[in-house]
Amino acid sequence: MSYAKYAIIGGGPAAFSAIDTINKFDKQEEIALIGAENHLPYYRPLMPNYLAGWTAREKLYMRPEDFYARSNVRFINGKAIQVNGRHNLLTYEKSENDVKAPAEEELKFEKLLLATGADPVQPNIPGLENPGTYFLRTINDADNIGRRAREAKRAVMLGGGLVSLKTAQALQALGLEVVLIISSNRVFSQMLDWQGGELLAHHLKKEGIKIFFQNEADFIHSNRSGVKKVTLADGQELEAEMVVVGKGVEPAVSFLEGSDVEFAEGIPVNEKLQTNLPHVYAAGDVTLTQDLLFNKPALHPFWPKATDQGAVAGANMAGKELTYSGCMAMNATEIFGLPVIAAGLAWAEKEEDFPGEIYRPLYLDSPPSYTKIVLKDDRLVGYIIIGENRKAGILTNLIMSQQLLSPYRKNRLINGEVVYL
Amino acid sequence: MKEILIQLEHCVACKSCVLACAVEHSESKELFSAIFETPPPVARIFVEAGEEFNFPLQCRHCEEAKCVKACISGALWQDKESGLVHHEKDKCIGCLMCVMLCPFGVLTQAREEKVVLKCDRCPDLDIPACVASCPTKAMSLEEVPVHAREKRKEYLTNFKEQWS
Repeated sequence: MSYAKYAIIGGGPAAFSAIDTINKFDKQEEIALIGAENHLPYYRPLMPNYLAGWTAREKLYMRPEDFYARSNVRFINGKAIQVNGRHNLLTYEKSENDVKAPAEEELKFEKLLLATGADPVQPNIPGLENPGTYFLRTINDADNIGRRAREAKRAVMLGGGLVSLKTAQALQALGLEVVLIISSNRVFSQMLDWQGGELLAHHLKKEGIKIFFQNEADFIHSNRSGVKKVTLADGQELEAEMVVVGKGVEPAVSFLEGSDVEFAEGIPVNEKLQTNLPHVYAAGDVTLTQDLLFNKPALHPFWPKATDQGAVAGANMAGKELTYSGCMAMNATEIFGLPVIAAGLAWAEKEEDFPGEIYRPLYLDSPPSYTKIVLKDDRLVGYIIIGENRKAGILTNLIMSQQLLSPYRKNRLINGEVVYL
Repeated sequence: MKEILIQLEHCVACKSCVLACAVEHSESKELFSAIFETPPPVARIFVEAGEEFNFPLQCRHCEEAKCVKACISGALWQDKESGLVHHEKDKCIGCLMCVMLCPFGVLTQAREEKVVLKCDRCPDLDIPACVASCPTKAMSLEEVPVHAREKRKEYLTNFKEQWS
């Protein structure tokens, strides 16, 4: 058994933000960082860029190798398998040793941060276990996909979210024909409304990506060399040598099974990011936190929330009281040169379904441009910007602060203009 | 610690700073050749012309900068000594997370290069190009004592009061 005052499970943005904050307030004490992958922690969102060859491997790592010793961090390559919060004990399986006989080790801690992030949702499709089917979450996934892509000619992507779209772009850059199978009626359906989805889908099609909407993969056929063909719900058959699944993520909580830390679809936390046990904290994708617009706990797996929460959890762990008030849905990306940003109640379609005002001051096919403004009681509650977007952050800030808009400012806003005052 | 301070009442929205910024961030750093460069040089300062007053705006190099927290590729980082928020172009993938979260709207995009661009406080110059170019001396670069943060925040507070 070893000891560290602080233990952190997970090596993503929440973990590093917590490390930086703990270092600020309690530099002397050791932090044990437990990461399940056999790599030093890296920037996961870069995986599509890495797959495409746009980002070099040495640019993926979150911190240089000497950071760990400098910051009093002991990196343990292992998989947490059990948490005994009341006895301040954590059991993990060490992965750097013999794979066939992994050694279980125990760690005693005073404060623990659960920052295990999220895992890809695994749909139940017969044939998904065969060679040639992938998720894109880890460096190893990217390497495996890259190897297969060298031999393959056609790829089928399941899912129409951000990771799927970026992966489709990467696979096309590697020379593959890419078909997207999307179960809803539009791309990026978590964030975009019908019009926004149409604009983006049109752009993707123009770039050579084929899309099937309101369809599913029913069966993945394989032979000895792996995937050969995918049968869709409507009976169509698509020939392909690889299938990549991007149907969203879910909090990685399975290691808490049987422990004394409470969890549901994510880990519920209070304002100080404590779990049901006051010395066990959680931050990042794994948490269920207050949604500021819906006023109820929700999952928001996105980067800035993880860094914010990591800093708050880290401060509280080191004895400096800080609170986290909540967040809302938002996302930004760039697909085939087209910038897309959406935040808040961006997807609200019609005023009948939504007690507020919806304006669409800009909608252009070429170049694809769209501005949508959603207001409630003279406050901004959502927006979509496709195209020119420099002032998007001012809008995000307006939603977060729930500032009352002056008549002048509101009038400019519903005409598609962002003014500071 | 040095900060760019702004006197709102002196700004006449002439956009000299915008031009000077673009030229300083061009390949040639000369106005006449910069005009013909591809991609065209991009300014990282913006002038807002309001109903009552005008003001220039560039990166505030915030403490607890939201853009740094939003960055998914490690391109944005804050120098603890100088307080400056730096951007490494070769790490940036142009994901726009920082653009989505900057409350001042001062990160801009180079669409062709697929990166964002921001104020770097002109590392090659003693006085940043925008400050040097201002004909009415609305901008000045001043040493601000760390222990007297009020002064540093004067511009921002002024700005905020006008907002609400």
